[in-house]
Formats: sequence, C-alpha cells, structure tokens
Amino acid sequence: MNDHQKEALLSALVEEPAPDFQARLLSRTRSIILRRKRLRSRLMIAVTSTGFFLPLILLFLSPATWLLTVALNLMQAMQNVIVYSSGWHGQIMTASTFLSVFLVSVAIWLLIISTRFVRTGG
Amino acid sequence: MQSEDDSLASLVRLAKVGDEGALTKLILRYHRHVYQTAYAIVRSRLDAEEITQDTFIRMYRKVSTLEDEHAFHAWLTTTTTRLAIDHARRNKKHYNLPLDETKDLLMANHTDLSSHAMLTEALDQLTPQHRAILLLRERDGYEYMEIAAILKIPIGTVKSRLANAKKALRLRVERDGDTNE
Repeated sequence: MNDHQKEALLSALVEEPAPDFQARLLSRTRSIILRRKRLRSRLMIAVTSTGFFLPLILLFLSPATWLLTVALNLMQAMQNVIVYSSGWHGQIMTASTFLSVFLVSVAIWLLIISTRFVRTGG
Repeated sequence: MQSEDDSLASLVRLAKVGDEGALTKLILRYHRHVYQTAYAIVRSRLDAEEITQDTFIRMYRKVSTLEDEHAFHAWLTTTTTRLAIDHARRNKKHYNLPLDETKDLLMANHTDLSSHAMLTEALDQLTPQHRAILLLRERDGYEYMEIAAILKIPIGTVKSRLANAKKALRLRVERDGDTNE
C-alpha cells in the first residue's frame, strides 16, 4: 500500500468528532465521576456504620445473649434467696426472684414469637 | 519529543492519584484519538461518542493500575479498541454512515468523491475486527505481535485478516469502478 492509498484509506476510515463533542464529553465525564465518588462515599459510610452497629444489634438480639442474661439473673436470684431466706426481707427477695424469672420468661417467649412472626412474614 | 513524553508521563502520574485537573487534560489531549479509533471500528457517530465516554470512565477507574506511564497511549488505544469491538459484538448491527453526512465529509476534505465513497462503503462491509486491524496497522503502525496482543488473537489470524481486509477493499473498489464505467 503506497502513501496515497494509505491516506485515502485513513480518510475513509476515521472521522472528526462533532465540534461540540469535547464540551459534552467533559461535562458528562465530570458528572459521572462526581456521581461515582458520591456513591462510593455513601457506600463507605454504610459499610462503616454497619460494621459498627451490626455486632451490637446482633448482640442484643441473639438468643444466646438472652439466655446468658437469664442464667445470670437466676444465679443472682438463687444467691439472694440463699443469703436472705429468713424474715420479711427474705420473703421480699424470694418474691422478687420469682418476679424477675417470670419477666425474663415472658421476654424470651415474646422474642421467640416475634422471631417466628418475622420468619413467616406475618 | 522526549519532553512531550515526560509531560505526558507526569500527567498520567497525577491522574493515577486521582488529580482531576490531570484527568481533564488527558481527556482534552486524547478525545480525538479515542473517538476516531472507536468510529473506525463501529462506523457510527453516536456509538463512537458512547464508546469514547466509556473509555474515559474506564481510564478514570483503572489508570492507577497502569505500571508504565510512558505506555499510556498504547494502553488507551487497547482499551478503546476492545470496548469498541465488544460494543459492536453486543449490538451486532450494521454500521452505516448516512449519505448526506458522507457527502459533507467529502466536500470538507476536498477528496475525490467517487473513490472516497467507494472506500467508505467497502469499509462498512468489513467486520469490526477487520477494521480494527486495518486501523492499528495503517494508522498507528503497530507490529503484528502488538495487534495480536491488543485484540487477544493469534498473530496468524492478524496477518490473514489484514490480508483479507485489503483484498476485500481492493476487489470492492475495482468492482465499483468497473460498474461506474
């Protein structure tokens, strides 16, 4: 292919962009880049806050945490019963122990019911 | 030439760390080259503009992975070519330049109307890959091995496709020339 043929080929192969293309390209590229940056920063905030709050939420919601709370309450209550089992003071402590066990049981029951409610979607 | 290379390398270095001014300068400097590469492959003004846009967005995202700043031009050409071929493969439509547009272009270039129109038509009949090989070889002067790496095809395929493209162009122009006579 000689120079003349090559020139003819290239002039048929390529084309000049439209006069306003440069301005359009710059403005669109800038807006896309800006949008991506904003999206990335939002994603970072979401990831960071999820990473911070999710363990806390899970800690409060997990049945293991609840069971641990119940066990600790019961242990505390038994200790109270043993220490203050005599006199009016002992009776109040026994009553409060049973009340706390009852309340914790209700809480566990509510938790189980609500979990099932969420799983079945109502 | 050396100082131009160095200034390009320093621009690319700045772009790699997210300098928006450097990115803008690179777009201003290369938008014509990228557009022409895309247009040569897809043969549609709108699609070429879209591919140019995609190329510069990709440049923004991936320029930080470029190891050698002096290889930026080749990297951009490779990115554009691959995006244009993928675009053509996805759309699988026939890319034709409207007749009025062709005439405007020809008048502007003061070229021989008949031979230019014949060549344009003949180029439209080639596949995007054939046109990409023609462009990379005849405009940019890439070696067969480099074209093979850009298009991810064997060197033998590059050679045969280039020969086929040239042969098809010659035949087409000769046939149209005979018909016109």
